[in-house]
Amino acid sequence: MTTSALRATDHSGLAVADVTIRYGAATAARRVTLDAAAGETVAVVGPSGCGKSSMLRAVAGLVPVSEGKIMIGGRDVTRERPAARGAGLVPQNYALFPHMSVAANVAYGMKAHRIPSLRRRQRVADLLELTSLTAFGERHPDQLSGGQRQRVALARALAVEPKVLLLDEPMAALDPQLRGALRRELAQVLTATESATLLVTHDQKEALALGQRIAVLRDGAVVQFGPARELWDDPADAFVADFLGGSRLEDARLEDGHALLFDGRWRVPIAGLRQRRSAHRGIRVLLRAESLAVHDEPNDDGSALDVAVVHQEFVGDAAQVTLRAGDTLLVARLPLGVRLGTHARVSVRSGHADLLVGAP
Amino acid sequence: MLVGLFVVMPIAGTALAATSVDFSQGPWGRGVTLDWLGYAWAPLAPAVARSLGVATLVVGINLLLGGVIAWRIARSRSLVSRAVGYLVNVPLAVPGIALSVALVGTFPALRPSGLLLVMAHVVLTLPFTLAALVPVLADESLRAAEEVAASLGAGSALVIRTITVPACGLAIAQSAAMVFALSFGEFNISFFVNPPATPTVPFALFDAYSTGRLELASAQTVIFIAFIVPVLLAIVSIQRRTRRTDP
Repeated sequence: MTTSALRATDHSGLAVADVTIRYGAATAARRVTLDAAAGETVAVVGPSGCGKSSMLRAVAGLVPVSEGKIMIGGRDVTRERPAARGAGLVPQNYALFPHMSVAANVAYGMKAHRIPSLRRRQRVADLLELTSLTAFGERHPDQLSGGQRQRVALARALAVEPKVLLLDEPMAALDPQLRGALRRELAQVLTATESATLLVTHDQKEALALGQRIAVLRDGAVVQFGPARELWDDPADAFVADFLGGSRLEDARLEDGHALLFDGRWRVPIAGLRQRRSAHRGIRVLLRAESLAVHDEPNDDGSALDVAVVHQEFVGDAAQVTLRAGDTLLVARLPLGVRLGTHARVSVRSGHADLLVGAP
Repeated sequence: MLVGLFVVMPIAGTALAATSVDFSQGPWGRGVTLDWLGYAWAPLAPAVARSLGVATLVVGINLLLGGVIAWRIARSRSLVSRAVGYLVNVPLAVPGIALSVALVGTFPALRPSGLLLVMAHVVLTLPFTLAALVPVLADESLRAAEEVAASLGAGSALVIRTITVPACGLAIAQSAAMVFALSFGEFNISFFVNPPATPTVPFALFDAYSTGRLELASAQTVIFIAFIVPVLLAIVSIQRRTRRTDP
C-alpha cells in the first residue's frame, strides 16, 4: 500500500486506498486511491468506461473489490454489505421507488433503520424543505419533473444521514437547459450536508463547479487528484489539460529567452508567458483557446506557427476555430466576422498562456 | 367478427340450451326455465370445489417456484440458469398425451392423492408465469431501485418485500389469473393424470355431455363459465393497465 493510501485510511470521511476492481478478466479500476473529508465534495471525472462508476459502486458495496481497502468514517467497510456501510446513493436515473409517494421515498431508509415514526416524519419534513419539495410530498415520482426527481433522490439519500453521499452523474438525466440552475441548487444542498460526497461525472463543468477536489481517471487509474484549481492551473499531463479545460499542454525547451514548442518549430517568447512552478516534471506550456491569436501576417522570427484551418464554428460571442499543426490540433477563438482561409498563422497572446516549470 | 363467430355465438348457444325446457324442440323450445341450472349445480359442486382447490394450489406453487426460477433466469448468466429457462418451456411443445403418460409412468404413486394432477398443472402453467415475471425481474430500473434500497440500509428480505414484489405486482396478478384460468379449465392432461373417482370441472362436463341431457350439460357449462369469466375479465383489465403504465 502506498504512503498516500495509508494516510487515506486514517480519514474520517471516505478513504479509498489502492482499490482494484475486476470483472472477470477485465480490470475496471487499478490501484485507485482517493479520499473525501466530511463536508467535502470530491468529483471523480473521466471519459466513458474509465472506471469511475465502478469506483462509486464499489464504495456503495454493489461491486466487490479485488484488492485494496475502503474506509467510511474511519471504519473498514471493504467487505461489508451495502446496508451496513453508511453510504447514501443517488444513481444516474435516480431509481425512485415508483409505487411510493415522495415522502415515502424519502422515509424509506429511515424505516429500514427503524427510526421512530415521529422523528422520521420530522426529518422528512426538514429534507423536503431543504430540497424545496414540501408541496410535492404526496405526489408519486411519475408526477414530477426531472429536476424534482433528482431532488427526491438526493433527499432520500440524505435522510439516513450517510457518512458518504454517492452521486452518479446527477445531471445526466436532465435537459441541458436545466443543468445550470440545478447545479446551483445541488451545490447549495451539498453545502448544507456534513457527508463526504463523491460525485461521479463525465462533465468537466460539473466537476469544476461542484468538486472542491477532483480526481481524473483514465483507463481505471487516477491520473491526477487534487484541488480543482490545482488541476486547472497545473495539469499532470496533456490528458488532464485536455479533458478538464480543453487545453493543450505541450512539452517545451527553453533557449535564448524563448520556449521552443513542436520540436523547435514554434519559438514563443518567455516574456509573454505567465511563469509558474509546477509539481510535475519538465517544462511545459499550457495553451487555452484564449491563449492563441490567429492571423495571416508573415512572421520570420519563429514566434508564429503555420497551421492549417480545419474547422470554424460560431459559439455565440466568438467563433471557435480548430487548427492543425502537424499531428496536433489547436483550438483558438476569433472575433465574430473574421473568416480564415485554408491556412493561417498562430501566435501566443502575451500574458494569456502559462509556462509550467517543474523539476528536471 | 371472429370473436363473435367463434366465442360469443357458442356461449350464447350454450346459454340458450341451458335455459330451454326442451332444446330438442329448438331454442327455448317449450319455454324458458332456470331449472336446469339448479339441477346442474348439485352434481357439479364437488367438482367445482376440487377444481378451485387445485387451481388455487397451482397458482400458489407457481408463484413460489416460478418466482424463484424467474429470479434465477433474470439475474444469473450461468449456463444452468439458461438451461432451466429453456427446459421449463418444453411442456409447451410436447403433446399433452405424451406428457401425461410420462408423468403417470414416472410418478404413479402420486396419482391417487391428486398430487400428480397438481404437479402436472404446475408443469403446464409454469412457462406462463415465467413469461410474465422474467422481463420485470430483469429490468434495469428495478435492479437500480433494489440497489438503492440496499444502500439505504434495507436487508434482502425488506428489499424483496418493499421494492421487488410491488414492482412485480402487475406481472404477479397477470400470471396468477392466467394460471388459475388454465388450471381450472385444463382437460387434456387432467384426463389421463386425474384419478377418475374425483373429477375436476372439465372432466365432469365431458361426462355430462357424454351421458346426460344436453340442457343439463349446457347448464353445467354455464356454471363453469360463470366461474371463469371474472378471472378472464381480470386478465384483460390487468393487461390494459400494464399497457397504460408502459413508458
